Amino acid sequence: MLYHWWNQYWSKALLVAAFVSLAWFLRQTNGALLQEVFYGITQPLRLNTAPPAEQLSDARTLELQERLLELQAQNQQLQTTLGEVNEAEAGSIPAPIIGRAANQWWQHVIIGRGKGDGIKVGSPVQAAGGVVGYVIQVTTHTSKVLLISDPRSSVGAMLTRTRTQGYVRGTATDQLEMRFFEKDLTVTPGDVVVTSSSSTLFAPGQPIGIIQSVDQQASPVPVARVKLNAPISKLEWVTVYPAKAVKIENQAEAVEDATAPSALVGS
Amino acid sequence: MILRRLPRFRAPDPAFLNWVIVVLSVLACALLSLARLPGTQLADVGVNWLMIWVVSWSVRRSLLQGAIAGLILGLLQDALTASQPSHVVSLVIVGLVTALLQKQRYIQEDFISVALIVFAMAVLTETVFALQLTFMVQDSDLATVAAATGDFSLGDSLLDAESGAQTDPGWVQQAGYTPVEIWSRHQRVALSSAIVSSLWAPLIAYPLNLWWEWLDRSQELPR
Repeated sequence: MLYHWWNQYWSKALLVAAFVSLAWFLRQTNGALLQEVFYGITQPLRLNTAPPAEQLSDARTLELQERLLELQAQNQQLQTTLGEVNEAEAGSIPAPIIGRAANQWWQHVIIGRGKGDGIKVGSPVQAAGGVVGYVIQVTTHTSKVLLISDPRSSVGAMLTRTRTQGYVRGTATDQLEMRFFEKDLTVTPGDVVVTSSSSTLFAPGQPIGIIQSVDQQASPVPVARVKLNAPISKLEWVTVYPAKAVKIENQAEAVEDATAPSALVGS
Repeated sequence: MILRRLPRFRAPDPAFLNWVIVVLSVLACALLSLARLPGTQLADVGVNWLMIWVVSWSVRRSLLQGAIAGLILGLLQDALTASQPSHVVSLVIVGLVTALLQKQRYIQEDFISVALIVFAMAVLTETVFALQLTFMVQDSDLATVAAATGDFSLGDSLLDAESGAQTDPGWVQQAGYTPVEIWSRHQRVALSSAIVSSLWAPLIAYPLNLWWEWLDRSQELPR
């Protein structure tokens, strides 16, 4: 019986087995091969190969940028005094977005720069407006970036005004959900959210968004809605920064920093 | 035709050509689903190209063939996105249900009916996936990536969890969709995906069906 079946269908059975194992291989390698093929095919279709020039939308943006430059300069001065070196600015790589997630639920993008350009897993990714995500997979020419708006992503964050620590989680929209570590807060809508000093991925103080609403009654900790600065669904170019490379042994140190943020700021 | 004049090559050739077309069309669908072409998006929801392919394949085939196609394309979609929860489940169900419809008996074979089936299957796909999200682990692969690279704690949750534990251990939670988010998003995703996928379904289904019909008439259908 089986012998007859095999005689009749052996070629088809082998073919199906080959296809299944090929698909399994692609799945186990997270589609790295497909991503490379996609990169190769779409390469001639990408006409603008240079990142767009800095765009200024209005006077308000200009004002804020100037204020930011001033604050950055001040910040740098303070950090030099404290003996901290800001390494985040060096070695940034502009990268075009060439693809998006192949389903409706996960929020990641594929960018056209990879291992060959020096991108590593864990590299933070930013765009005009602030943080957009971090690299979760690299191939030779492409990388996969988990967007900050993906529900699986959680990034340490804090409020600039009160230095309250928390973390933001995506909700697959242009709003994030921010949870705080403390119970009683003076959070108000309009507060600016930046990356936390205890973040393992991002340099501290990178802009994320603005608080839109706060639910103080939420259990066990207050929850806030954060409007993202970056236009997350309309991104075309992003900037990849070198991975922060927090070693496991450094974590204890970083944790100390995180537990006493007010003391740090006060000093 | 040339094939008629070369009878010796006539038997193996269309079968081989069929596999080439099958493989290339699947590859095209896989790559199309990475791109977000203008006009293929509705409310930020794209076309489910791989699901369209499974439907086009299964309407004229047996249950087993539909399930095998769902398995292979489900693995491919896992490769293109994330493997937990797996897309294999929803695409195998799509393959089985489409084959079960016994299309040739009840529904006239044209691209309007294919579009209708795609519409229903898109809703089914998203519903199955939403159920999987509700009851299964959401992509623990991210943690595996972190473990493989060693140096990082990928995602900031690990470090924050330790620091937060001393003040208020209550907040620590698993990242991922909450059930409320899943089902509010499901309505939007299912409807948009169904509309946009059924509009674009003929692009894949029509040429493939034309080819398989021709193949059917010229010889016994290779499986």
